[in-house]
Amino acid sequence: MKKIFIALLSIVLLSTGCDDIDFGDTDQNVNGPAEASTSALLSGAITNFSTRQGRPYRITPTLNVQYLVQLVYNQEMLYADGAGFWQSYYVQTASNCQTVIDICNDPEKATDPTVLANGAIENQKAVAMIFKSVIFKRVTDLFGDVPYTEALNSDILTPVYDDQKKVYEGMIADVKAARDMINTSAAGPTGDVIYMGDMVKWQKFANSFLVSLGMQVTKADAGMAQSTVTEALNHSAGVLEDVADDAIYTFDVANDFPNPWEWMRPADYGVSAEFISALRGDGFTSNTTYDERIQYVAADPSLDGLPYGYKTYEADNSPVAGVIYAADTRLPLLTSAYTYLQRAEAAAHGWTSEDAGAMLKMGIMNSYAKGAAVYGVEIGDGAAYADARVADMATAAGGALQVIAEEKWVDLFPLGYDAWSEWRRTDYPKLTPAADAINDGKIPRRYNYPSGEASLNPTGYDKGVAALNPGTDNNTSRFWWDK
Amino acid sequence: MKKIAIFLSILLFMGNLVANAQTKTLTGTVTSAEDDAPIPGVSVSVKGTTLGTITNLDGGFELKAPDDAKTLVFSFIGMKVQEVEIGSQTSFAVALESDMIGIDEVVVTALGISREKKTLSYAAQDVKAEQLDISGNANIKSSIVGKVAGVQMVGQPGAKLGENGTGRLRIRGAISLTSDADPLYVIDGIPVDDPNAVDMGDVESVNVLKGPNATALYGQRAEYGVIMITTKKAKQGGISVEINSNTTFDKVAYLPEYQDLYGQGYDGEDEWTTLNYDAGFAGRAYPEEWSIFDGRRFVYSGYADESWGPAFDGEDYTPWYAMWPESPYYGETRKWEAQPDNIKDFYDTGVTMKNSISISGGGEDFTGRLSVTNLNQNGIMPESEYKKNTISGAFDFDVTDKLQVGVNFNFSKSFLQGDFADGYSNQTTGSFNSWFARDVDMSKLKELKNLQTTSGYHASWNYWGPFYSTYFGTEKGAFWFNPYWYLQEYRNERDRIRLLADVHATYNFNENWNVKVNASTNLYNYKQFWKVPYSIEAASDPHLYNTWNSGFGNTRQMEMENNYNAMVNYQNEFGDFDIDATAGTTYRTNEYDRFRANMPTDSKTQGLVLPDVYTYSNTKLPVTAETYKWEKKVVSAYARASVGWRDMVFVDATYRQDWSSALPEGKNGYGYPSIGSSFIFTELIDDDSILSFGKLRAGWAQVGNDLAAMRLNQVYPLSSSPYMGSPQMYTNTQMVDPNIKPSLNTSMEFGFDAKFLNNRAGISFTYFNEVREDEIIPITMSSATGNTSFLTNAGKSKRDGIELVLDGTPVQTDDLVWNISVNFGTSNPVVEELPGGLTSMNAPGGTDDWGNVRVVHELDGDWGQLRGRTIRTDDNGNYVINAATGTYAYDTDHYYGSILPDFTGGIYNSLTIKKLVNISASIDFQKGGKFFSLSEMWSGYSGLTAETAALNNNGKNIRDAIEDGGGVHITGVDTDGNPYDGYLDAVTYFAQFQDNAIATPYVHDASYIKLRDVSVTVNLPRKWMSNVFINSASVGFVGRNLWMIAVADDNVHGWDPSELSEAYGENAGLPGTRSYGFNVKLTF
Repeated sequence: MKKIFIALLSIVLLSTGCDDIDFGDTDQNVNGPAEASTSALLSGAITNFSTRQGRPYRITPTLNVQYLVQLVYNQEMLYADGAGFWQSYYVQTASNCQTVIDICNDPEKATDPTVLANGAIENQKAVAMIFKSVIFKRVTDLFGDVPYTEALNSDILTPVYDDQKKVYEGMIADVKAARDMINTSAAGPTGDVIYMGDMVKWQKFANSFLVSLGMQVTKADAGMAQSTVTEALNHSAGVLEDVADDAIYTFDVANDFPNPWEWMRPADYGVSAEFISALRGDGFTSNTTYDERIQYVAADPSLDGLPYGYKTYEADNSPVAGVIYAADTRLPLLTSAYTYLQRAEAAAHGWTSEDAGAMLKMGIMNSYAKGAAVYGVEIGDGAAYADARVADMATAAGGALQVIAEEKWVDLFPLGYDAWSEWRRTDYPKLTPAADAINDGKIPRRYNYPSGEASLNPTGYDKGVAALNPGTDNNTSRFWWDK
Repeated sequence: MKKIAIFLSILLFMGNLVANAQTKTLTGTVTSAEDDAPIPGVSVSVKGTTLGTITNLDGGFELKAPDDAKTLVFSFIGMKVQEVEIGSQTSFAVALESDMIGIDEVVVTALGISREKKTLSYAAQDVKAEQLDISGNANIKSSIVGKVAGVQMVGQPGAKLGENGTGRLRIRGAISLTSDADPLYVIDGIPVDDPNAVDMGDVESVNVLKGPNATALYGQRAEYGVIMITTKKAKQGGISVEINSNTTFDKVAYLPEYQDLYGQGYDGEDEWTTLNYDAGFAGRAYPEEWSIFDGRRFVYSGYADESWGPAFDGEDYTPWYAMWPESPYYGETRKWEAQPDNIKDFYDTGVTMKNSISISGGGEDFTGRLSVTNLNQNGIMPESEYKKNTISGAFDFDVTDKLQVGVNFNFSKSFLQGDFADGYSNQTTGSFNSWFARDVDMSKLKELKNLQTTSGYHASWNYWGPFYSTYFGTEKGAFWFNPYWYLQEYRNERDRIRLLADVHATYNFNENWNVKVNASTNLYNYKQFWKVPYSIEAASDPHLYNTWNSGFGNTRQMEMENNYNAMVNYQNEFGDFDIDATAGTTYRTNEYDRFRANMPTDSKTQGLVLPDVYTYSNTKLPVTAETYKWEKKVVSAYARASVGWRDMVFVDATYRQDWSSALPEGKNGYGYPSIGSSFIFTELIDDDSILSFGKLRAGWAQVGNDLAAMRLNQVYPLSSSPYMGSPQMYTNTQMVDPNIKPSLNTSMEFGFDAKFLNNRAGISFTYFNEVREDEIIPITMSSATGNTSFLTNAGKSKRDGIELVLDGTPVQTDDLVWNISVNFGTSNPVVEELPGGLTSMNAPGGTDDWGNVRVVHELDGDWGQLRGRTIRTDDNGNYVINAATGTYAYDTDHYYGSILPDFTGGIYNSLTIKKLVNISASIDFQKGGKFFSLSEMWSGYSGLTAETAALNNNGKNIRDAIEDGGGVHITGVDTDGNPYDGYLDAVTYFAQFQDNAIATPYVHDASYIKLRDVSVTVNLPRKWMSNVFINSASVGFVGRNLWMIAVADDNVHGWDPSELSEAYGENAGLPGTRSYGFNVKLTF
C-alpha cells in the first residue's frame, strides 16, 4: 500500500517538472475551417461591404444629401453629432482583402493547389487590392485621416493615422498596380461575385474607379486629380461604358442576404420635397424637365414630399418607391453612368478633349438604362431629358459643372455615400441645412471618429483630429479634400 | 451533517463487527434529551477498544462487549459525547444532549474529503437543510442567500420559472476583470453548473468554500468559490418513509408607482377629437360600421402607447373593444377613468405544488435511500408552467469488512413553457413599463383576447384609432398586441433531462491506509421548441411598426462531464502528532454538442408557407442549421498533508497540478500550492466555562485558471447561410497571444473561531486578501487593426474584506429554545492595472437595452462601475441647465460607482416552543452598490410613473401649462454660471433623459433589508400518533418575500435589488412577488 501512495505522491511531486500532457486533437475546433479560403474571403469582403445595414451604415449620407426625410425617428436627419462606426469596414471586410493579398504574396501559399484553384494568383491579388481600395475610399471619405499604411496588421496594435492625401496616393498606386497586374487570359478569382471572374471588366472597373479617386481630390490637389483622371481615361483597357459592365452586387434573398434597405421601416421615411422638385423640374435644381427616374424614387410621383429637416411634419408624406425596399433590388457599386458623368466633368475642366455635353448625355442615358435594369421600371431611354440637361449647361448659374454635379446627385440615388462625397466637393445641388438641426446648424461634412479610438489609439486619434479644420472631432469639421 | 456522520460512523466501525468469544450482550436505546426522539446512527463503543456499533432507526443498539468492559461511549455529531459506566447493567437508556455549535463537527471539504471542522485553516460555512429550506423554496441558490457571510444573489427575477430564473451567486464580491460567474457547485462529489439538478428536499447540507485557501484542491474550476452540496443518505436499521407536501402561492406585489390622473395620448386635452362620419378623415371615408360613432369623442392618437393624454374626467368615451361589430360591447362607451391596478391584474396567481416521498433504511451491511419528487408550477405569467420529476437514490454496500461500494444517482426531467422575456420591448413588462396607457382595462383584454376586427384581424388595445386607422387603411395594432392573446399564441417549450450518477468504492487496508476511487457522470440534455403561428404574422403590420413572421425553431443540446478519481489516504498517530495525508489524481472530460435551427421572427421575407405547419420543408426560405461542439480534458494530480500536534496545532499543505487540453501545446500544465495552519489555543486553558473553544487560523493559497476550449484554435467564421451556393468566410475578430499562460490568484486569509458558555455562543471572523494577476483578458483594440480584441495575459485586480458569523442560543429552556445566527461580509475589489495603457475597460455585466449605462472598470477605481451620461454639475454641485431649451447640460462617461455592494449579510432566527412549534425567519440585507432601471426611464418618458403627474412647487400639476403655473420646476445654473430658475414642460423634461441618454435620475443605491423567508412549523405531539403507523407529523405555514423592510431613499419605486435580472440593474424586469404556502410532512 505504501508503494501505491508513494507512487501517487511521486506523480504529484514530479508533475511540477512536467509541463505538458499530449491531449491529441481534443482541442481541435471542428466548428469551421482552420484554413483560409481566398475565394470565400474575397466574396465575404464584397458581401459584407454590400449588405451593411442599420441607420448609421445605410441611411445617414442619404439624408445628408436630402434625398429623403425622416418622419418619426429623426436624429440622423437632424445631424446628431454622435460617434461614427468603421468597424464593419476594417474588420471582416478590408481585413478579408488583406488576408487574400497576404496569401498571394506568400510564395509557399501562393503555389498551393487549393489557392491556385481559386483563380490565377495575380488576378486574385488584383481584385483584392482594388476592392480594398473601394473600402478605404469609403472610410477616408467618411472620417478624414485614418489608419491605412499600418492598418490591418496584427503586429501593430495602435496604427498611425495617415494623412488623407497619403491614403489617396496609396489607393491610386494600388489600383494602378492591380490594373496592370491583371492577366485577362488567365482565370479570374472564383470569389468574385461582381464580375464572376471577368478580368476585362475588372480592368475597366479599375480605370473608372481611378477616375473617381482622382476627381475626389479636385479641390485639394488639382494636379494630382487631373493626372490620375487622364491617366486612367487614356489607359488602353478603357473604362466602364456599357450598362452591362456596371459593377452590381446581387442579393441572395433565398439565403438570407437581402437588400439592406428591406430592413428599413417604410413608415419612417419619405422622399424630400427638394428631391421631388428636382425630379419634376420645379426649380430646386437647374433642371426644368420632368425626370422619369422619379418612378423609382417616389411610390406616388404625384405627391409633393416633405421639406427636409423639420422635427415634426403636419403635411402628407411622399413614401419612397417600394422597389427601393424590395429584398432583391440589386446594389450598383460603380457604374458606366457615373463614369460618363465623371468624364463630362473632366471635359468641363478642360482635362480631356471629350465633349462635356456628349458625355453628360451618355451619363444620363446610361443612368436611365441602369434604372430600368436595376429597378425594373419602364422609364424610356432618357434621350430627350438628357438633351434638355445638355442645354441647361449653358444657362445654369453654375454652368456645366452645376448640371453635371446635379445629375450625379440624381444618378447616385439611393447611394448616399458617393452622392455626399460629390456634394461636399462640388457644393451641388445647393442644399439648405435642416431647420431643426441639433448640431451647430450645418450640414455634416464627416463622421466623428468611432468611440473608443480616443482611448484605444490616442496618438493616432489626436493626430487625426488635429488635421481637421477646425481641429475638433465634430461632424461639421472638414478634412483634406473637403476645402 | 448528522447523516454524514452516520455514514462515517458506519465506515469507522465497519471492521469491528466481528463478535468476540468472551462477551456479554449490552442493549439499549438512545434518545435526544431535547425532544425524547430516538436517535439513529449514534456510535456506541467500548472505551479503550475499537469495539462498537451504531444505533438503529429506533435508537436501539445491541453490542457484544468483553466481560471486562467498563465504560460505554455514546457519540453523535452535534451532540455532547456521553460516557456511561457499564457496571452490571446490560440495558441502557441514554439521553444525549445537544452540542449546540458542534465543534467536533465533520464537514465535507474540497474533493469530498471529510475534515473535522476544528482543524481547518480557512473559513468554511456550512448550512443545514432546516436553515436553507425555510419556506419550501424551489431554488437552492436563493435559499443560500442571507445565510452565508459574503454570498450575494444576482440576476434572479423571482417570477421566472425553472432553470430559467435561478440567477447566480456571487461569493466575496468579484475579482476577475472579465468574469462575474457562478461558483462551482458540487453535489456529492459531482461537479455541476446548476445545483437545482437535485431537489431541495434531498439536500442535507451545504458547505460554502469561499476563497482559494478552501478551494485550492479543486484547482482551476474553483476560482469563483465552491458550493458543496451533500444530499440525504439513509440511516441504518429499519425502514423509514417520509412524505412531504408543499403548496405555495405567488402574488405580484412589487410594482413601480404609477400615476392615475392621465390616460392614453401624446398631447393632453388636445387629444380629444370628434369623429365626423360624413367628412371622413384626410380625404378617406370611414368604414361603414363606424357610422354609429358619428359625433363621439376619441383620443386622436389612438395608437399612442404613452400616457401623456387627457386627464381622466369620468366622461364617456369609446374604447378599443367597442369598435368592432364582433365585440359584445360594440358601440358601447365607458368612462374615461384610470385603471390603477391594470398591470398588477394582468398577472396570474402562481401556484407551486411539490410532493415527495422518500424511503430509506438499511441493515448491518447496507443502506439505501430512494426519493421521488414531483414539482408542478403555474407561473404568474399567463400560460406559463413548469413541471419537474426527480428520482434520486443513494445505496451503499459493505462487500467485505474492508471494501465498501456505493452508488448515487439523481435523475430529473423537466418541462417549461412560457415567455419570460424581461428585456426592453417584450410583450409584457417591456411594454407595461415603457409603452402603455393608464386607462387600459385588463379584464377586457383578458375577456376579449380572441376578439377580431371587422376583417378578421386580431383586435388590439393599441389599434391606430379611428382616424389613423382610416388614413392607413389598417385595422391592425400599431405596436402591440393584446398580451393575453400573444402569450396564448406564442409557445416556447423547453425540455430538460439531467442525470447525475456516481459509483464509488473504498478499500480499507488497515486503520491507517485506504484507497478511494470513483467515477461520476453529469449528463444534461436540452431540447427547445418555439413557434410563432400564422395568427401573429397576420396581425402584424410590417409596413408600419409591427413586423412578425410566422416561424419556429428547435435546439438540441447535450453536455456531459465525466470525472474519474483515485485517492489514497493515510492516517496515523505518532506520539503527539497526528498525520492525515492524501494523494490523488483526477481525469475529467467535458463534451458539448449543440444543434439548432431557428427562423427569424422579424423578417419580411421569411415565414411559413402552409400556415402553422412547423416543418423545415415548409419555410419560405431555407433555414440553415447551426452546429457547435467542443471537448475538453483536464488531468490533475494533487497531494495534501495535514499534521496535528496534541489536537492543538494543525498545519495543512496542498499542491495541485493541472494539465488542460485548452492551453498551448507544449506547456499545458501548471501547478499551485496552499499552506495553512490553525492553533486551538483553548487547549492551553483549563477553565472552559466561559471560553469553551478558541482557534486562530491563517493560510496562503494560489489557484490557477485556464481557458475555455478552442480559444487557441480559432477557425474562420462563415456566414450563417451560403451566398449563391458558397459560404462566405471572414477573418477572426480576436487575435490570440500564442504564449498565453494560466493566470494565478494569490490569496491570504486569517481569522479566528471561538465558542463561549459551553458553546451557547460562537463567533467566527475571517479577513481575506486576494490578488489576481496576468488574467487572460481580451484587450479591446482599435478595429483599424482588423481585429477588435487581443487575448493575452494582462491586468491586476485585488480584493480584501472580512466575514463575520455570530451564532448563539440566547434562550434554552424546556419550553423555549431560541437560536440566532448573524452573518456579515464585506468585499472591496479594486482594479490596479489594466492592459495596454487603458484607463478603463468593459467589465462583465454588460449594458442595458438602450446603452444608457455600461459596467466598466476604472483604473485605480472600484471593480465594475456603472458608467454613463450624467447631468452636468458645477463646482458647487448645482445642476447646469441649457438656458435656451431649459434642459440639463450633460457630461459623458461619468462613473456612478460600483455595482457591488459594500457589505451583505443576513440574520436567521429560530424559536422552538415546547418542542412542538418552530418559528423560523431569515432576513438579508446589503448596503451600497448601484443599479440602473430602464423601466423607470421609459415609464417616465411615456408618462406612466407617478412623478410624471406630480405637483410642482406652485401646487400645480407639472403637466399643466407653464403659463398656468405648471411645468417642472428647474433650478441650478446656466452654462455661463448664472443662477437659473425656470419651468420646463413635463413631456420635454422626461424625454430629455432618454433623448440625451442621461442616466442620472434612474441610477439608484442598491441597499435593502428584506424579510426573505418565514415559517411556522407545528410538530404534532407523538402521543397523538401512538396508535397509528405515523412516526412523526408536522404542518408548516411559510411565507417568502413578505416584507421589503427598507430600500435606499433614492430607490423611489422600490425595485428589489436582490431580484434584479441583470448585473447592471433592471431592464424591463418581471415584477416581484409575495409567496404564501403550507406544507405537511409525515414520517412512518
